[in-house]
Amino acid sequence: MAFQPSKGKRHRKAADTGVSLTSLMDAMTIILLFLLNQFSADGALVTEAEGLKLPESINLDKPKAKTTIVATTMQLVVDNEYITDASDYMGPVDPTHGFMIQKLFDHLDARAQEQIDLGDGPDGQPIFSGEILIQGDRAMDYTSFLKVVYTASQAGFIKIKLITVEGD
Amino acid sequence: MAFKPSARKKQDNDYKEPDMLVIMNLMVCLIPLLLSCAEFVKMGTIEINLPTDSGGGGGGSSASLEKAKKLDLKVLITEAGFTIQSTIRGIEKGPVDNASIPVKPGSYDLNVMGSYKEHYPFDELNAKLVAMKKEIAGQGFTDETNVQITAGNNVPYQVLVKTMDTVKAKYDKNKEVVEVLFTNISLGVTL
Repeated sequence: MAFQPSKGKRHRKAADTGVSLTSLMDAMTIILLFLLNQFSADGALVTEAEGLKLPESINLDKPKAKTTIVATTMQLVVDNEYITDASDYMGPVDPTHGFMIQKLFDHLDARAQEQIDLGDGPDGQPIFSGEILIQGDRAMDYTSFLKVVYTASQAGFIKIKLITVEGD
Repeated sequence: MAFKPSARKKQDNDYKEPDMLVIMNLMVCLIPLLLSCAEFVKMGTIEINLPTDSGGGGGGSSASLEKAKKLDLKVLITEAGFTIQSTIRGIEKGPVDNASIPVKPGSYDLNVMGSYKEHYPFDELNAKLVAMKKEIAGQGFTDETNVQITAGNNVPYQVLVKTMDTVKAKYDKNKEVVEVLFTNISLGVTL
C-alpha cells in the first residue's frame, strides 16, 4: 500500500529561484587571498619576453624598468622593437665587425642621444643614466652574449644588468 | 482586554540571504587590481662591470703602482670545467684539459632542470673561492672583491650566470648569504 503524501509538502512555499551568490563568493574569496599572497607593492616592472627562457639565479635584486635588450635565439629586440635576426649576432666573432652588432649599435646610439638631449629630469639628475637591462636566453652562447654587452657599452650604456628568474 | 497580537509573529520566518551584490562588486574591482600587481615569476638582476683598462697610459707614479697589491683573480669557464688564476697561485692547472675543477663526465641538457648543475661542479668552485678569500684576508689586496669571468665560445649563458652566483657568495640551504666572496664581477674575452 502506498503511503499517504505528506501534508507538509502541500503547504510548503515554492523555493526562491534567484541565483545563489554564496558559492561564487567562496571562489572569489579564495582568489582574493591567493592574489594578496602574490601581491607586490612595486608591481611587475619588468616582464619576461616571449620565446625566451631566462637563466636561473639566486641573486634577486629587483629590476627597475629601463631600456631592455631581449636577445633570444631567434631575434634581437629593444623595448619591443625588432632590431635584427639572430644570424647577425649568434655564433663566432666576425673578423670584419668584431664584437659590434651594427644595427643594435645604431639603435642604441640614437636612443642614448635622444635621452642626452632631454637633459636633466625633475629630480635634477640626467635622464640618461647609461643603465640597460639585458634579457638573454639561457641557451645563448657566451660570444653572442658578449657581442650584445660590447655593443651596448659602445653606445654609452655602461651600467649593465642581467635579468634572471628565481632559481637555486 | 487581550493584547493585540504581535505584528512580528506574522512575518515570514524564511531564511533570507544577505545581499552579496555589494561585496561582489568590490571583489570584481579588487581582483583585476591585484592581478596587475601580482608577481608570479620572481625576477632579479645581476650587475656586471665592464673590463677596465689596466695597461698603457701614464696615470699614477710607478711607486704607487708598485705599492698596489693586486690579486687579479680570474675564473675561466670551458667545456672542460673551471680554471682559476690569481697572482698568489698562478694558473691552477688540473689533470684534464688544464681545468682546475673539471666537469663531471657525460653531457647536460639545459632544458632538463638541474642537469647543468650536476655537470659543472659549482660547489667545488665555491669551496675553492671560500678558501682563497680566507687566504687573502688582511693581506691588503686592492682588488680583493674583484673577479673576472671569461668563458669559452660555446659556454651557455645559463652556466655563466650560475658561475656569477657562485663567485659572489656562499649560500646556505635557505639561499641566505653565509659569506660574501667576490662581488665585483667583470667579463673577459678569449681570443
